Amino acid sequence: MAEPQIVFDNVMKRFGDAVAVDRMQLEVAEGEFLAIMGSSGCGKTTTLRMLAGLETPTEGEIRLNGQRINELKPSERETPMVWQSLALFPFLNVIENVEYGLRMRGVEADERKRRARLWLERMEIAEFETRAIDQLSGGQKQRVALARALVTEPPVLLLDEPLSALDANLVVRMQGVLSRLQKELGITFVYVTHSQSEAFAMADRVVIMSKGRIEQVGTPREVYRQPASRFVAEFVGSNNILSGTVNNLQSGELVVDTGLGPVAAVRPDDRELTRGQAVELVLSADNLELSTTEPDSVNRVACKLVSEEFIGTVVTLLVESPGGVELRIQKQQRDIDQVSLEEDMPLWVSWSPSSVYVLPG
Amino acid sequence: MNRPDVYASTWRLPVIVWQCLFFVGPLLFMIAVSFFLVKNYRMQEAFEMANWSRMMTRGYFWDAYWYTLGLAAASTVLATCLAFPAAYGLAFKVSESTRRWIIFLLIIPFFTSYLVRTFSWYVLLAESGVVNAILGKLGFGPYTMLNSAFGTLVGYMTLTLPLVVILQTLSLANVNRSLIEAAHNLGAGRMRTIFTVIVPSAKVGLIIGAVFCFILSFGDFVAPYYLGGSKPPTLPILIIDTTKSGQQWPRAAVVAVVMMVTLLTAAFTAITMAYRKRR
Repeated sequence: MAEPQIVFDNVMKRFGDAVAVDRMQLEVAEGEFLAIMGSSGCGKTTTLRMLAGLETPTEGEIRLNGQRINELKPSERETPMVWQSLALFPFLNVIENVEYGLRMRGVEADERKRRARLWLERMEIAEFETRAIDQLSGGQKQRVALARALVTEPPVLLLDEPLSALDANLVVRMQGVLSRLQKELGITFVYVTHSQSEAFAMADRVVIMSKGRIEQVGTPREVYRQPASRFVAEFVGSNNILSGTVNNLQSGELVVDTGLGPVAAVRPDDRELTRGQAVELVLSADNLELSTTEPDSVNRVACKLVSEEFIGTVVTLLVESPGGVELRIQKQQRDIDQVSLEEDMPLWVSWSPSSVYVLPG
Repeated sequence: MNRPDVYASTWRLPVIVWQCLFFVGPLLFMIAVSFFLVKNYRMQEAFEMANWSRMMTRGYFWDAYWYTLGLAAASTVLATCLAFPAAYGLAFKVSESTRRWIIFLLIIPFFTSYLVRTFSWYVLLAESGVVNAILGKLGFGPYTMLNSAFGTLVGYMTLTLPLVVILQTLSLANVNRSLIEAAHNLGAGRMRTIFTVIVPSAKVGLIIGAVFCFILSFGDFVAPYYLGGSKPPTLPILIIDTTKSGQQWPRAAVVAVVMMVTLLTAAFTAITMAYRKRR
C-alpha cells in the first residue's frame, strides 16, 4: 500500500537546549482534515512550520508523497500556509495578494488575473478586488488569505490558528466556510489551534500535543470519550478525574474506591487490572445526572451546590461531596429550568457504570 | 484656550522661537538679499530683479546646476545601492546584539570632523598615494583619482554612507518577518522576496535614507572642493566664488535660493512618494 501523504518519521526539533518537538511519529492521509491541538509552547506551530519548510528538523525525516522534504526550501514546496496574523501584503491590493503565488510561478498576467478572480468569487469577495488590505474587515481579510493560499491549487493547506483574531460569531461562520471548502477541494488541511471547539467542529482527526510530544491521535469523539492520558482528559472538555484503587473485580464489572466512595464501572476489556491497583477514572461532566430526590442508581452521591456558571445554553454546576470532592456537571439550560437552584442546596448526583471511563496507564 | 493647552504650548515655545529666529528669519533675509544691489563693493537695500536675470541667463550657472544635480543624484543611487546589502545583512543575518554594536560603530565616523576624514582620502587617492602604490606593484596605473568626479563621489560616500546604512538597517529590521515567510511560502526565492516584499515594506525608510543622501551631497562644499578640485564647480563652490569676487552676496543668495527650492522640491516629492497609499 502506498505511504500516507504526509509522514513525520521520528522527527525531532531542538532550539538550543529546548526540545520543541520530540520524536514525532505522525501520518496524515490525503484529503484528511487534521487538527493539531495543544496549549501554547506545546510544539504544534513548530510542527506546522517544519511542514512548510520554515523550520528544519534537527533529526528524523518528513516525507510528502513518499519523498523526503527536509532539505527542500520553503519556496520549493507546495504547502501554502494561512498565518495567524494572515501576513497579507499591505502594499498590494486584494487581487495582487491573491495573484502573488501565481506570479512567483511565472503564470502570465491575464491567466493570473483570471484564476485569482475565480478564487475571489469562490470566497465571495469579488467586489473587493481592488481594495487595499487595510480597508477590509477581519472576515474579508481571512477570505483573501485563503484565496491567496489556495489559488495555486496545492495538495496541502496549512493553517496556523487562522481564526483566533476573529470575534465569536464570525469564527463559527468561518468554520463552516473552511469545512465546506476542504470537502469540496478534497485536499489535506493541517490545522493548528488551541481551541477545542474549532478542532472538534471541523477535524476528521485530532492530534493532542503537550511539551513537544503527541499525547493522543484520534477522532474528536475518541479523544473526548476515551482520552489516552490524564493530560488529554484534563485538556479536552470538562472532565472530572477521580483517583482510586481497584477494589472488586468481576467479569465485566469493576468497583473502584475513590474519594466519593465505591464507584462501579464497566471493566475495560483491553487491559489487565488487579485488585489494589491505583487507577484514574474519568467522569465526563455531561454524563452526570442531577436530581433533588435520591435516584435509583448504583453510583449516587449526595452533594451540595457550590456554584453555577451560565454560558449560553449550557450551565456548568459545581457541587461538593460530603468527602470534599468537587464535581463539575454540565446541563442544558432548559433541563434545569424547573429546578430553582440555591447555594448549599442538597443535590443527588448519579451516573451509570457504563459512562465511567478508566484511564489507561 | 483652556489651561492644558497653555501648558503644552509653553513647552513647545522654545523650539518655535529658535526655529523662527535662526532658521525662518535668516531664510527670509536671504531671499530679500537676493534682490539687493552691490555698488562700489557695498551692498544696498533694493528690490531689483537684476541678480536673478543675470544668474538665470548665465551658462556657467546652469552648467554648475546640472553638474551638481547629476553628481548628487549619482551619489544617491550609489549610496542606496552600496548601503542596501550591508543593511540587509545587518537587519536579517546577524543577531540583535551584533546589530546594535555595528550601528554603534557606524556612528563613530561622525565623531571625527568630516574635513579631517576628507583630507585623509588625499593620502590614499593621490597620484603617489597608497592606492596607486599598491596598484603599481600589481602593474597597473597610476590613475588620477583626485580632482575628478570620482574623487567628489568618494567624498560624498564618506559623508553619507554610514547614515544611509543606519537608516536602511532600521527600516529593514522593522519589516514584518511573517511577510517574508509568507513570500517564501508562496514560492518566492530570496531575490524575488527582496524585490517584491522587503523593498516595498521598507520603502519609507529606504526613501528617507536616499533623501538625506541627496540633501547632504547636493549642499556639500568639502568633497567637490578638496577631492573634486573645484572643476567643474558645483553650486556650493559657485556660492563661495561669487561672494569672493566683488562681494556679490546678492548673486550668491540667488544660487542659495535656487538650491533651497530644488531641495524642497526633491524632498517633498520623495516623501510624498514614500507615504503614498494605494487606494
